[in-house]
Amino acid sequence: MVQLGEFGRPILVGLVLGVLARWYLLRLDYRQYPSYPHGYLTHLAFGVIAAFVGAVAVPALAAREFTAVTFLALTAQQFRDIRNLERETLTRMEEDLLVPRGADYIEGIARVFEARNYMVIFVALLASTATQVSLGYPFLGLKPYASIVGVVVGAVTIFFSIKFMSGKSIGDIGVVREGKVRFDGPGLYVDDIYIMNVGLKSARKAIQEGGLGVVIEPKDDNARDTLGNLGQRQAISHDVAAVLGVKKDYATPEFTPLVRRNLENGQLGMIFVPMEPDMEALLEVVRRVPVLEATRGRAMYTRAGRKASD
Amino acid sequence: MRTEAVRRIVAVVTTDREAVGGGGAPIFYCRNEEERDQVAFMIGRLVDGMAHELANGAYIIVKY
Repeated sequence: MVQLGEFGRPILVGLVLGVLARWYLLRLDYRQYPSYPHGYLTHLAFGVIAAFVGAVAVPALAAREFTAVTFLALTAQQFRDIRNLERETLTRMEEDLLVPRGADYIEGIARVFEARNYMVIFVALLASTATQVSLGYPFLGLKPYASIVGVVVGAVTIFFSIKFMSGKSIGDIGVVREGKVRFDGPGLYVDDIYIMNVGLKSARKAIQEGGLGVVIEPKDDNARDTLGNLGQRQAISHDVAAVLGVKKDYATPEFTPLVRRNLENGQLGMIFVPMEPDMEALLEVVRRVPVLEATRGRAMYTRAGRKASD
Repeated sequence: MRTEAVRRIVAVVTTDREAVGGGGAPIFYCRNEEERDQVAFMIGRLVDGMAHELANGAYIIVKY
């Protein structure tokens, strides 16, 4: 084996596992953001830095280089900027989107990008620690397998962080089903939920023919409040438009996907005129829309809220 | 475009002189319903506004 010095192996294991974690999480994002190679590279580069910082922490302690550890704090500062960077980029792009993401969705995405770097640090830290401990304490009997121990610990950490960091989606908090699109004069309804007033007869015809209606029934009071949030609804509109294609151009607000609320029971009704009129696909997309952290309803976590719900 | 709060009525299009009067937005009087629909459509496209139909047959073009 190539000589890597005393602490070479823990650092290397941590680094590799950390970068793998970042790479995997970039692929995992089904919204394909950032799908362009430069955004990809930027985040991978940040991932390498994060992985390196995490990987050297424990070997640095073992080498009695205590100042090195303070660099952890310094790097954390740097990663805070990632959130700002993502937020700025996405906010600037908003104007040019046919269906914008909305501020809450952007905040959610930016937060995820920041948090994932901390996760990379964590993975690298645990992997290198495991390797270091296996090497440093021979009585454990793991010394010959130190690298393997490190890889296994890193992989398990990646697995659990994916499992616990992936939040809920709309399908978890509500029943998503098809709704009937109908007009009552100029009033557009999905089932019994009033959506909007459509004046132009040509627009009414187009919506009646090509529009798909979706109804989302909240499963409990928390879900009702979450679904009521305008940012959450905008996120739903954006995602369906991004995946199925929206039949809309600049200066045709009639065909913007709209999500409106039934005040009686908190159900949501959505009208959407897609390029690909596929009901099954649409329901699937709506179910997979992430529940945004900032919009999550909390009524059921309080005593008064629970009391009000029965 | 987050809420349906009306931002601005940019025009009123109607066939009925009795139905609309005064106000801050320009009023377009049309001879018949067909013309009304076309005018409403054109204004809507030109100003990125949406046509809404009121109960009295008047259209308002609203910019969100």
